[in-house]
Amino acid sequence: MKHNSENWLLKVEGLTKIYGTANANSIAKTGPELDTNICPETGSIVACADINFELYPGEVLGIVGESGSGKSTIVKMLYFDLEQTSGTVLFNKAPYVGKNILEQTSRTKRQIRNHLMGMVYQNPRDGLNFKFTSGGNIAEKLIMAGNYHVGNIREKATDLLHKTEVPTLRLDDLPAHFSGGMQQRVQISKAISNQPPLLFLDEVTTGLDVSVQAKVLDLIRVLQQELGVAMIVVSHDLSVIRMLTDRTLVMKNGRIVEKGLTDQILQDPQHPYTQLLVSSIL
Amino acid sequence: MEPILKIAHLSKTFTMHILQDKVIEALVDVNFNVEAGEIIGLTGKSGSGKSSLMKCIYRTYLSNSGQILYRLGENFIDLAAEDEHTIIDLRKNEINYCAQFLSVIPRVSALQIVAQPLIKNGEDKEQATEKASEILNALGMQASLWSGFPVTFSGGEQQRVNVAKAIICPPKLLLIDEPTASLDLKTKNIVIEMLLSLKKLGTTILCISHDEHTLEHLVDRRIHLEKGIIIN
Repeated sequence: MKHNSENWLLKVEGLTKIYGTANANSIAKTGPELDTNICPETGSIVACADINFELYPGEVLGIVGESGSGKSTIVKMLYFDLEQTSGTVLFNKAPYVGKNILEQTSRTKRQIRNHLMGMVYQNPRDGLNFKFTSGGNIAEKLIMAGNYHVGNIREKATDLLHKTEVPTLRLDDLPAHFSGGMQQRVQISKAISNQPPLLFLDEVTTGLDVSVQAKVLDLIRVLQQELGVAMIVVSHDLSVIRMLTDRTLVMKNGRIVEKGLTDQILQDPQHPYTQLLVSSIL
Repeated sequence: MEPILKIAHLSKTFTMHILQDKVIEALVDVNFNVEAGEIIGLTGKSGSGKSSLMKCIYRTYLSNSGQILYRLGENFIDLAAEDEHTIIDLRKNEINYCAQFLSVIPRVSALQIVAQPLIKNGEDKEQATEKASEILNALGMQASLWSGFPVTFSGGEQQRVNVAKAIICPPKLLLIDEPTASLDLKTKNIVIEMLLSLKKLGTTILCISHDEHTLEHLVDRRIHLEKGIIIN
């Protein structure tokens, strides 16, 4: 029963992203205590610095914080959308065990992404190709993950749309003709099509109206349970974090100011910023 | 009988940084043991620290000092100090907490909410739903409400869903906050019966209650709190 602390899926160490030319003081002169992420000496922006955490198989981890606190920067680096300034990310999956996945060739990174990761962006335009049909979008990911049989791909895409409650009749329609909630569900279908052990969700319900939000959240929760996929959920919305996650990291000015069990973060916050955040819930 | 829980010198304070670092003492040097299979009633006025105590055990609250030793097989582990992933694992099937008020994902039906813990533990969906409907039925919840969303329910109806969800997967240790509040006498008695049958299955229960009827018929002994201190 006691937790085995060695079988993590993902281990992030010292992950840092700085825009502009930093100097030796840039990290010391930014952060939550100074309430800024702009280095006063160089003007460089410390988007996030010295980020450390572990993610276990099947675990749902939340990252919460205000706009500009660096939460999306983290997942973008983990998904190779953004290049890191420094840091190590270990991914406990063969054949990558023991290697810093951030330091691999772009070909290897593509392979990791296609086979072992999924991403759902806030804006469906970032995750979907609007020139392809919804089925085509899912097919794209399936092909990249090594599925080449057209009949199988179509069947799988239909199945995924069904799972995410998109009318399967619309397999050959363009996502541009879909509602926002439906586009988001197509994006989710695409992200999980390669059955990844790790899924990133970046503000996925932001901008959807509340009734659609509730349905998307429930869909994510059910899929997580069925697939047992580990997830990193980025959101500025504490209710989303409360409903979906087991553990939470709280970010401010590019640093983690507090981490803990989600219910502890929400009901017994320790850091002044977390206390402010929690007391601001509507 | 051997204790399942040994609480020693437990203290909890809240430091409110947004109120000029005001400090609130919730629990002061709390000491007690709980035998396996016991039902303990936690009593005391509102604000006396009953819920804080439960939440410290469940690790929703971080204790400031002291130990919360929980028996796991042959050994004791300190719930106040264990790493978060061990706590997450324990919450899956050892320790369950049932809050005073139901908090759920919107747009999920009452039946699904109650079946949830079983499905999480790997039980077949159909069987889980079957068991959920049995419990709701036993709690006198009319079948027409099962597919409804609990946010729209009355206080008593929500409370039944809350209790049903807490007991469908009997844990080793159940922390339950006011299980019979806002229920009529008949339903109260059903809930009491259900908790007593959990006890027969070996579950140890800590129960907060203000209700004399519930305390009288349910608990083996009482622990009374005043301003965060045990008074017996």
